[in-house]
Amino acid sequence: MMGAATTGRAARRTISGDFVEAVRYLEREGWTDGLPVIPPTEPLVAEMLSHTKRAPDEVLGHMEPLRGTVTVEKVAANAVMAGCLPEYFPVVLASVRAVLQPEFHVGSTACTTGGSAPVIIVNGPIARRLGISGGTACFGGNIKPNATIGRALRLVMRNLGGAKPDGMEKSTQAWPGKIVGCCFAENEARSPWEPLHVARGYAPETSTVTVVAVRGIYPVTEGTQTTGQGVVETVVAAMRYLGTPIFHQMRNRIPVVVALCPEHAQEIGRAGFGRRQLRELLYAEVRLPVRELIGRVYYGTRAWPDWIDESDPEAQVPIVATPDDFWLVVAGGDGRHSAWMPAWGVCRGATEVIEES
Amino acid sequence: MTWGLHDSVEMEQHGRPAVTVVTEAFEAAAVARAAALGLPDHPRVTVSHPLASRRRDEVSEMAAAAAAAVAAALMKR
Repeated sequence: MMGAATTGRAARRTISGDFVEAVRYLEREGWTDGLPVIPPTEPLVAEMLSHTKRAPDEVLGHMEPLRGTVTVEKVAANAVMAGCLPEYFPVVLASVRAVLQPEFHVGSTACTTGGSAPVIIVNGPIARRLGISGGTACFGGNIKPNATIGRALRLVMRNLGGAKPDGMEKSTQAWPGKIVGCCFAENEARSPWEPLHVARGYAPETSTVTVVAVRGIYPVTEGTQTTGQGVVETVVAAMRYLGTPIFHQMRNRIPVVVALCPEHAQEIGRAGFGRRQLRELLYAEVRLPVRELIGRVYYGTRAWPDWIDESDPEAQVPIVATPDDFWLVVAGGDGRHSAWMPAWGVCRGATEVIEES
Repeated sequence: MTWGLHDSVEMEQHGRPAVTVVTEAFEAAAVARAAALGLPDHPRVTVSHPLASRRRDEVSEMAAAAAAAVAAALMKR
């Protein structure tokens, strides 16, 4: 069995007993999230590794906060534990590479009292091939690739980064994304627009993950309005929300994921909004006046640009720094329920190409 | 806490004395983090928790009460 040592080649440990005893051993070592795992035996890890061209001992980086060495082999061991099928491994590896990008600020997102957890948005043809859902219940976790890929990333963060509740993990409450993350595909087939990865400069046939840490999923239900304009108005109203620090963090250039369900997206598209027009409208409209933000939430550590006139109580503060910081995706099945997810603190998110072997 | 401690450790690594002030709730995390950053004996002054909800005058009182400990920690380095 392979352990999750913090440096070098993963340690091999020999333990006796049956499957349940092996699982209990891993729990006692502090390497699980409280749910059962599959013990990462050498054959299972080797099978996972057969789905990448990268060498097992390649160092991908160091996982904050405690700076464990992230090797391809250790990622594979955690992917086995999470329950991933071997063919999911390229998606897990890309997700791990994304959170290791400096602009992700993984140490802060793993330790913050804000309880943030990673959202993994999968784009491109690999989603269909692996069955990563962007349709019905795609955030819900009861779909194998969605649940296990997200969980694999969380186990890597936890076991190699060291943020656990008895130490560096300081979430006041957290949310269930701390266990399984939140991995879903964009529902590209039902989107009126080009997909997120194309908007971020990748070819449509390239598969990518875009990962960002969020405090939670904020729902927007609109089941009465019959026009896209009406839906947009409800989305805007829902995002004018005081109880998130993001209005005070504009200068950190952190994004907001706007995940529109297919029906909402198509209605908005029919109303004449392209991706750019919708982002610009959200930027113009999703604002709160200075008088509502003074002395509240994270006012004491606000990061506002100079052009905001704090002496004017009616001055309008946008939720993000530029229209590009709205990341529009289409996700979900039938029905009229959308969501938005503000990035946490200093996490700018990152996109990585999924390397298919 | 994370980045405040990060900055203090970096100051020390550049040869400047530094100390991190944390609230009780973050003490264990500060110990682990300082060790991970390579300075397990990085000095630390612990104050009561919570801090963010206190009035300005209360925070000033806490700062005055902690000042001697902060100075002592800096002088030892």
